[in-house]
Amino acid sequence: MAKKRVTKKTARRATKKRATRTSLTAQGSADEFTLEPGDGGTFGGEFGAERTGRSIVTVMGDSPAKMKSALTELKNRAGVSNVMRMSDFGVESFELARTEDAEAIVLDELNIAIIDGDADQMQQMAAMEESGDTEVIIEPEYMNYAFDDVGLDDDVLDEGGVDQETSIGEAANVSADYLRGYQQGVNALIQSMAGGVAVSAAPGLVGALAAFSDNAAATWGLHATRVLNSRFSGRGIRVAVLDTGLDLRHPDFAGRTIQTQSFIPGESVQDGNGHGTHCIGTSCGALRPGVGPRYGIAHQAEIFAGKVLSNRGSGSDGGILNGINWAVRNRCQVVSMSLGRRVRVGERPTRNYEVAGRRALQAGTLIVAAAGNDSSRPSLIQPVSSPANASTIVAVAAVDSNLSVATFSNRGINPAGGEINVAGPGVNVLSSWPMPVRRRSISGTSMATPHVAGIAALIAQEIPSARGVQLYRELRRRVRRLPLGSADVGNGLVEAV
Amino acid sequence: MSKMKTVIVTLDDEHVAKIQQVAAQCKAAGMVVGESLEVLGQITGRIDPRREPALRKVPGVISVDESQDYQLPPSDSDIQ
Repeated sequence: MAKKRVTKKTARRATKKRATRTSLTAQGSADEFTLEPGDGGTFGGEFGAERTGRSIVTVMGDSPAKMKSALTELKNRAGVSNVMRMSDFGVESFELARTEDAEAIVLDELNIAIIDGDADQMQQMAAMEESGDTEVIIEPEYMNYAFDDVGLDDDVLDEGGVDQETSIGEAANVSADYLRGYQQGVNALIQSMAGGVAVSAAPGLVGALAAFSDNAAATWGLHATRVLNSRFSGRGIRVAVLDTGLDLRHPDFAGRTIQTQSFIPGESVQDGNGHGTHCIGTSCGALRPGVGPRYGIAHQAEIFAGKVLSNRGSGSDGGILNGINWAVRNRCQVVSMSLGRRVRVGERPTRNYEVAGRRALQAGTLIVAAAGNDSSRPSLIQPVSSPANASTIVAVAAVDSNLSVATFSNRGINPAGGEINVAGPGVNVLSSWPMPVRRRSISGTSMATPHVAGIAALIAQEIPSARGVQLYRELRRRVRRLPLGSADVGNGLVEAV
Repeated sequence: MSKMKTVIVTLDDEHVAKIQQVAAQCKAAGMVVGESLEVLGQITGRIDPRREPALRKVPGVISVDESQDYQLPPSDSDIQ
């Protein structure tokens, strides 16, 4: 992960100003634009999840002015007052206590307000939406998602532990969710014991519920994410991996359909680094590689190898966005980006990736990106890197084979998209490496990311309607809940089935 | 002459379909236009920082972000 840090307060201010003007022309409903909590509501409903009693109001379009008029309307028609706007607070100056009395918490960057009103107010709001003369979507907040990434927990509670998260709101909700996660963890332990997978001898550690290991059949990461239980192969799905390219002479990729494009001047897509070949190996590698266990997930996906990082591992926004544009134009359903740049605490996502991610989603392309390896737990914990911090891009954390968060994995600390969305296997990951080395085991959120991309490809094949935001919803629904803070692992460890 | 800055220009939704037109206006505003990313509605290129205010005023431009650099750890690292 790159070290460059840029302060762009003034640029951000200018961007915000312009956003007001642009938004007048923005089309479509806001929930198509973002991977944020408003999306979760619908999904929770399908699974009969309990409601929290709060509502999520999503303002159509992309305009601060519209949010303002929506709040006025909520006040006039449903008596919702005592509004707290997250944009009034920096991360450092945010006072948790002040959220307790608020009836409405506004996440300006997302055009979302979370309303905690009484039954009467909720009824008024439902009537308000039904009347159809307002430009808002009002959905109940489901319990599954209260814990997830409503923004508050991930943004503010830098300790990320369960206790702290409980303090943000209705304790009962969070602990029910926590227990559900714990229960799943225990079930997984029993499952893995029954399946003959090695079990951790550390029952006292909450994080260490199960231990997976590489065996003759597959790598630990494929076991942990239940890839072997999927009957899908990614056939018909296009997966773009934007990285250092691919070793096109690697025998494990012989016979595959591979499209390539280099965005690095003077360098071909042939991988002179290794990172790209490793990442493509995990996301799209062979069902039966020539040597050793299976390490690849979407083994029949069409591979789009875009070189946006040089053989020396360097790149820039121009090449990366060019690569995304190429992938979207080629109708890739999934884009995997094991790259990132360190950001400061309190830094917001850049407008260019927010918009690029949104336009990709609208075109049916889901982008997943590495959360970054800048942490050194427990002493140092850094925020999610850019561009994974964009609210329209999935941020992937890394877990180890005990399903504990990796010591290097960054945390959701920053607002407006800077949370972790899901986790993937990212410690001691065996995958392909340019010949003659052939295969190699390395660690990083870079390795967790292609696990998520490969599984997204399997899901995209299984559910032809799951594209863009819908694919993300399905991805985050199919997770193994982990008894860890969502600031560290998001919804949990991705699973193929 | 100050140093040219590498930038990403992002267009609003309305102007995505008119990206070539906007690119021409960016050029007129002093930008050395690189590529037009027609699907994302973004234009890469370089600009003299003193002319950036004019670039920001081009109709349809919602942001001008300085291009950032990325660097992977050395390829022999255990953590990447």
